[in-house]
Amino acid sequence: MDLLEVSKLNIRYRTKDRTIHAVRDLSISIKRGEVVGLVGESGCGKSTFGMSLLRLLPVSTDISAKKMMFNAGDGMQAGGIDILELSEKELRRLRWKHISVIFQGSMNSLNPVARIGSQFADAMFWHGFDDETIKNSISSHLELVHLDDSIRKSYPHELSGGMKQRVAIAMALVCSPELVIADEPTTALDVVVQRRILKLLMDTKEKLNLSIIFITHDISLLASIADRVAVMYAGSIVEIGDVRTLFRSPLHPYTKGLMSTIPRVDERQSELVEIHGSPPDLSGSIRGCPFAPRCGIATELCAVEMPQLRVVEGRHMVSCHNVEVQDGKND
Amino acid sequence: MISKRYLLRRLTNMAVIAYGAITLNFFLPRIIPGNPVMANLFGGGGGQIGNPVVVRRLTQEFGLNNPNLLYQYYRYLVELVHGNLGISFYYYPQSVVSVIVQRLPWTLFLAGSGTILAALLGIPLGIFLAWRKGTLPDSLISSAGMLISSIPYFWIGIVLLIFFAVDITIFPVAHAVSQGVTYSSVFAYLGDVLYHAVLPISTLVIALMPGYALQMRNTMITVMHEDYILTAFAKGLPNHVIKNRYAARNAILPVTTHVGIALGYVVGGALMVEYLFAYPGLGYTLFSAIQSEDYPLMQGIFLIISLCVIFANFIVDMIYTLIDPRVSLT
Amino acid sequence: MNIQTVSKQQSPVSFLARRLIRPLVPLTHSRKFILGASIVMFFVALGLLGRLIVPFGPLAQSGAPWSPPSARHILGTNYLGQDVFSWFVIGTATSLKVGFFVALFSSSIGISVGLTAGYLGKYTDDVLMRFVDMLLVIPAFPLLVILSAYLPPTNTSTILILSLLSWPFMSRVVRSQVLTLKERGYVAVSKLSGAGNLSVMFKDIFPNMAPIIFINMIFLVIGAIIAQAGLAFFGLGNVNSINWGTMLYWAQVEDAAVQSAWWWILPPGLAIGVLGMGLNMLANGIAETTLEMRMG
Repeated sequence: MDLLEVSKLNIRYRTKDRTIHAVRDLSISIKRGEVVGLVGESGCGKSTFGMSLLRLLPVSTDISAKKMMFNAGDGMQAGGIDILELSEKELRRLRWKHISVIFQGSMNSLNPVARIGSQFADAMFWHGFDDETIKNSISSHLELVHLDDSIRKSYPHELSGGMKQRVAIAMALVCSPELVIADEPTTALDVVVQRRILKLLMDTKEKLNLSIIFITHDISLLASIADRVAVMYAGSIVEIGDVRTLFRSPLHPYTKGLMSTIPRVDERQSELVEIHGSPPDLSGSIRGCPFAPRCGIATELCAVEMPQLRVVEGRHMVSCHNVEVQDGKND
Repeated sequence: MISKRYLLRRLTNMAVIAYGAITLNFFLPRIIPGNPVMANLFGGGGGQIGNPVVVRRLTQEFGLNNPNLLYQYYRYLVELVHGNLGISFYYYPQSVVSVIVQRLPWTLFLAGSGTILAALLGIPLGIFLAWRKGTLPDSLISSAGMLISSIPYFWIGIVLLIFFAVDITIFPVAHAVSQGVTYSSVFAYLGDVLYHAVLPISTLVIALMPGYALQMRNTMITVMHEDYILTAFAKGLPNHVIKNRYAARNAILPVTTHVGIALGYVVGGALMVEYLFAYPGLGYTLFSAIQSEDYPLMQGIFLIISLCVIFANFIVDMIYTLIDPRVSLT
Repeated sequence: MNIQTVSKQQSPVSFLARRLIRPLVPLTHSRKFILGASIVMFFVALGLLGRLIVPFGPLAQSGAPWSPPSARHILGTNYLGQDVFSWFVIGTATSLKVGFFVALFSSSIGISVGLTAGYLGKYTDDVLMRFVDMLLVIPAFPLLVILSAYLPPTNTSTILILSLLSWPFMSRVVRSQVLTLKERGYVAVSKLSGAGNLSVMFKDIFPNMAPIIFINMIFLVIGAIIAQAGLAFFGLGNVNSINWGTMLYWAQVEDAAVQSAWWWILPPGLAIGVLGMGLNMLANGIAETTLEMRMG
């Protein structure tokens, strides 16, 4: 049984004059201890998906799914819990204790008027930890991210961007969650710091046997950290597979386009696939393949029929009419 | 902690503004052209306006018969340092300072308790409204607040006066204490003071509270869009913790600045409310000074009120420093 | 795209008209703006056309003193038997006039100071802003009172005094806008192409802060009407002029509260409140609409 099983997830934002269908029939499973990279342009629905796992979306949002199960194992009901069925109170118990988020530390994600220590402590306190445990956990987690214990007395504005990012990581782990959603955790950092943070995240993940959903717009980051990569376009996953497979032989034209932006040392890359145009407007219904207008190899079929995610080989799946797959294995 | 350097900078700033107010007070009567009062007073003649004895003394003390403006300015500063703001025409032989010293506490009492009560009631109301943004209670109360904050203070006072003091006589219509009464104890006196202060203070509170509430509401709604609020929700914190320790705690900072900026208006309101309720503070005195063309007293009241507001602003600044951890280090 | 060819193809008039009208279209979608505008328009119409609808001359004794509202006097009469409704309608014009002119004059001062401080920066900015800070801290009302006591009691004096004391906030707003806009690309482009300081200021910077300036002008109108009423209530300015403030002044002087003559007291106060609310909504409508447009 996987840690997280999501099937046919749909998310719609209702605004005054239109409804934006941000996530469309998204299905994905995540195993214990697995790192899944979620990549796509901004507005493709990747952050919306991440936040939906904690039901942290505006009130005027409709979420529906065939299945959205979280199987924490010990301490939770057998058979897992249905995230969409949780009450306010149950949701509060799920948040941070079982699923937590690493926000961009360089953003304003830390309360500017509270000391770092108290921002660790309040989360733990309301999840029922006692004072002794809270004190020890803060120390050990600050140590985990190589920060001095005296940091707990500091305010966010006294820390550098890299330090704040490490605080954000430590804070996300302090209640020992099973799943961590890392939402662009390194985006605004310079390359050296970025590298250090990623390494730290991976080391920690090994120690704690975490599952991580790593959301980013930079596919090159995922090569070194992800077990699997899912490419999102216009609210759906267009290609998903093991990191090696995907980087070696991307099949979807959009994935190829994303890959071509990575500079490579070997000369194997023969063509530079440029992606023209912009993603479709998600407020309307889309006929055919959403990528078709920007696709170099689109056919008449692509304009009328939405391709389904089909298995290519093993765990590698792609949704494109023009990719040959093993027959009889349609999902 | 407030660093010494920061404190010194704020003190200097306050001193510069105070000096500006003092200078403005000197030039005000002198720069208005064709003013008969000033021509009379500063021309050195003991004329129609004011008590001739007083005019002569003022002329002498403030060097008014010396045409050199710089010399007059020097005399003005020297007398000011010695606590001399001149002599009142109307209350002669009392000096302006002694009249002001008797009246100032009443004004400070009204304006101070009005501001504090309005803030204590308005800010929680703002938090309540922001948390329920867009609901029926929010739209109703916010619209009512917008209406009330546009109505002049004294009009609210008049309506209270008609309602409580004339139609149903619950509260006294005028004065700070009962006339011709001897009190059995200090508490009886204080009770009488509070009883007389109910209507004036209520007027100020009703007039001020919507402003604070709306300011708090709007600031907090902006704060609610900040990333750290999302973090707080993600942490699974109970709503009351997010509302108070995260959203309101951050929103209170700009509102504190607003309270400081609004002090000047509050004092203006207090002055009018005093006049309305014949309350023996500086506002009522200012009004009678205008009626009796008592220019030295008017000027003195302006200067003292300005200095008080400047000082109160400094206090608000210090409070801000204490509640915003980001300021003290810079 | 070449900027010069674009401006050559359009006549200046149509260009100007388009610049003025296009930004106004989205405002019609704002409920707040429409409601606020209707309230303001109502009072403006009352001010402009009031003379045609008043049943009596406001100074004529048209009934018994202190009569409560009736069919003849829909807002009753005052202590002299004058028609309160006529006072109110005629007074609207004066109150609006004070608000309008004060907003106009004081924003001219505020904008000039703000543009100068923000654009020239450095020493000029320091000195001007220190001065502005001082004026912002010094309580306005006692200062207004003193100045009114020194100047001859006319409406012109009141407008002059209020204009001289109301501009500091506007100058702060304008200055901070200039500081932000100065950093934008197109201002740098204009400067590099050799445009002079004044030309950059009025062609590139000024038009971009029109909404904010307009919003603050609206607040100046409210502030001026309230302040004028306060001064009149204190017996300052021309107490024989007919406006909302002097209505309250005479009501206070003649003890209308003791007479329970609510019909004399309620209309001017409520009118100031409702007009203030309308102007506030107008300003909020503009603020929200322009903010939405900026966010895309």
